[in-house]
Amino acid sequence: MSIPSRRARPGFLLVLQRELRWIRRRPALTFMTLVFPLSLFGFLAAVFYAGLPADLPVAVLDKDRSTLSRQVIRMIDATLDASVAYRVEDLTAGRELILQGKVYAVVMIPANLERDVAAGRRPDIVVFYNNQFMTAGSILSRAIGDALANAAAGAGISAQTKRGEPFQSAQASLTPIPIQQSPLFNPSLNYVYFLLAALIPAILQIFICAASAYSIGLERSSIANMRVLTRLGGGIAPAMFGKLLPYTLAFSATLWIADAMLFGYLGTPFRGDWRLLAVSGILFVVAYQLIGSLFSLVGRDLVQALGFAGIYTAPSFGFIGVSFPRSAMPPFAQVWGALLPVTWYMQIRIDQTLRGAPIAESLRPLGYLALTVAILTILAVLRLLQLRRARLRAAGSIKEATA
Amino acid sequence: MTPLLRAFRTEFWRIWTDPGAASTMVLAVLIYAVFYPQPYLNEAVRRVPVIVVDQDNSATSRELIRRIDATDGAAVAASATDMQAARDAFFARKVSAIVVVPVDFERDLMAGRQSPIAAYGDGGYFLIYRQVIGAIRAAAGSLGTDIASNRLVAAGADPASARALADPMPATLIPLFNPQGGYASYVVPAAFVLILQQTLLMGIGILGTATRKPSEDGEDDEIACLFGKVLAYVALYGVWFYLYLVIMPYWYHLPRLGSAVDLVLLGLPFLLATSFLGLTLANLLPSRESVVLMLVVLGLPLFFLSGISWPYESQPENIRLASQFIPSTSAMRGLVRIGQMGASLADVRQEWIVLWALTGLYGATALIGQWRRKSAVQF
Repeated sequence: MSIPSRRARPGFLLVLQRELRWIRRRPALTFMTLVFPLSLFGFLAAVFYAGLPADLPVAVLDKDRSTLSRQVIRMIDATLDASVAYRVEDLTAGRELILQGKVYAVVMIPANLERDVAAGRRPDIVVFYNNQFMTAGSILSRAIGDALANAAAGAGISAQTKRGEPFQSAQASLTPIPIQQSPLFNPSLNYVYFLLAALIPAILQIFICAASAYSIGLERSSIANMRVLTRLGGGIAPAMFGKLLPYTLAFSATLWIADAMLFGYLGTPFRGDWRLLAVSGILFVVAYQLIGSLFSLVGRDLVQALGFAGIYTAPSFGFIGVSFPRSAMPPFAQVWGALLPVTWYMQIRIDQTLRGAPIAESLRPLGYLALTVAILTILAVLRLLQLRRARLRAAGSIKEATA
Repeated sequence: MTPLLRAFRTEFWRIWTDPGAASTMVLAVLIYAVFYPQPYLNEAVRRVPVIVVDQDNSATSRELIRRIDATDGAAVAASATDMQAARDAFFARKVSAIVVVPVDFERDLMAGRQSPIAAYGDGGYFLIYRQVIGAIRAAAGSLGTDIASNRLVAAGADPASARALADPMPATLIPLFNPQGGYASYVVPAAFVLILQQTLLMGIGILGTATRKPSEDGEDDEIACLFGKVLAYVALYGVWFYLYLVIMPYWYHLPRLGSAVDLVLLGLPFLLATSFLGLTLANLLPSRESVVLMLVVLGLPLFFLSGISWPYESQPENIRLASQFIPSTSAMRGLVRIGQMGASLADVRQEWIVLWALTGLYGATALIGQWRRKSAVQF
């Protein structure tokens, strides 16, 4: 290790320079802070690149084989979401296709459909859909339901106009209350925006926590290093600051590059306040740096510190409340979610990008995030002081023993 | 004692005594069994809160609102006089959807004209959006059909044919599995399979025994040594497999339709393929720490590759192909179909074949890794 010139005053700059040299010598750290997370986001973007699922396979059981039943099948096949991939002869065969994972739904058209519709006997078309694979199941039940409603409306209008009803009133009697529906934001209902916007911090928190546990853990593995560090910094606070700053910058850059990709290249709508987003992004990075450092300062060795980091960060995605709302979770999950800084960051992130919520809605989560950082800083300093006292005591007892 | 049994005993003992391995392969597995499902235990958002802006304020609009409130999917939580107030409640996360009933709603309806209403939902929650909009559509549809057939009766049609004219070809939509649309039923069984894979791979990486030479353990039969280790992993994880796929679903009241025998028959090649993959990875990756990090961050992406939450058909062809090389992809798809949908082993034969093929492939790579190490010592 190169020793800084004697005349240099201790301070965080010396620690910073030392850390930068360290990072240069260890390509694994650069890989972990920049290359690996960004390539993982690129990979996820590729997985979801197709946007909303389309043309999901469906099987049809047509017991009628009439003009109307063929019309119904054509209308299902014509939807964006469904594609008629199989025709089966009985329900058992349809069920088997679902169990084999080849289709997500089976449409059963009863015998005499056309005749019964004409006779006003209201024959029932039954759709079985796989709700265990819930995304595909819910997309298909909606799409097929809509197609069948359109087909029914067509059949009904022709029946009524035959009776002499004017077309307009026939249409009005079939769908008297149409619904003009739209999501308040996310107008294209492109769910990929939300998924990717949420996955970026959910994965990055693991990297931040692990990288901090790693870099502090390397120092902790030798007591001499810890002493050098506090000497160089001229105190615990500047030493910590100089040690953590390069990673704060690196991870913030990674977050910004990923966001540039998401909101720029992929065209995800941005309807919020970017300053608020940037500030909360930095607080998010710092919070996980402190958590990772604490794991390292508490853990027995590097593997254990990384194990803590893994156990704490890996299951976070479920608790954040992006796939399932937090208000619907049991109390334990709500409390645990509140203890994860990424929960508050995610709320600000979604509000200030996709939702376009008023700034006032984001101030409370921002406050929580800042409070978390403050508490974590205090905990880290206390632990460092405790470690130093233990070190001094050990040194003192060695002196006594030798004297 | 044969070399195989000796290797088994040594490795099994090491799992329990190495603190890193024990905390990953025993402690973490037990913690996650309880911890991971917590967010989803309420299964579904039963009645999504809706705010209503009733600009018509008529008997019919109140009937519509009552019918929306009566659905399973939505609950009228508040009402507002204008759209701005409704949006504020929405952004404050007090409600997840807004229904607007415009002025003259009743008059148009009674006059036999189409009378639209507007519904806005939270596009950020895919399934909840569909649930609440579906509930509003069902309420509007039932009220609409009632009014239209009443009007046709008033115009002289008999009630049965009026009904048939207003709704000539009804559709019945039946969810075959997970009928309640439960979130835990949907996410947890698949995630459990992934947790088994990730902790097993991590544990093997931490144990670091893949990089030990058989001779260090006093063995010279490397094939027996390799199989002895794998036997130790499969023995331990066989227990965890039963816990995660049979006992925990029972405990959490998740759907259980399949036979335990079929689960085990698909689980065996899954555990074997994963064990051999772990031994191969441990040979390739530079350090124990990098094994842990790599596996922790890959958890979420691997979950999406399974096709459980993001349809398999919607993923790019080359990614789909590459994902076949990861045991969890086939295991999640197959085990969920057996466990939660009641498929038989014959229904998941494709997954079963892929997992045995992976067992062969990674068995070979693990063996090559061990031979290379041995020859590196000799020369």
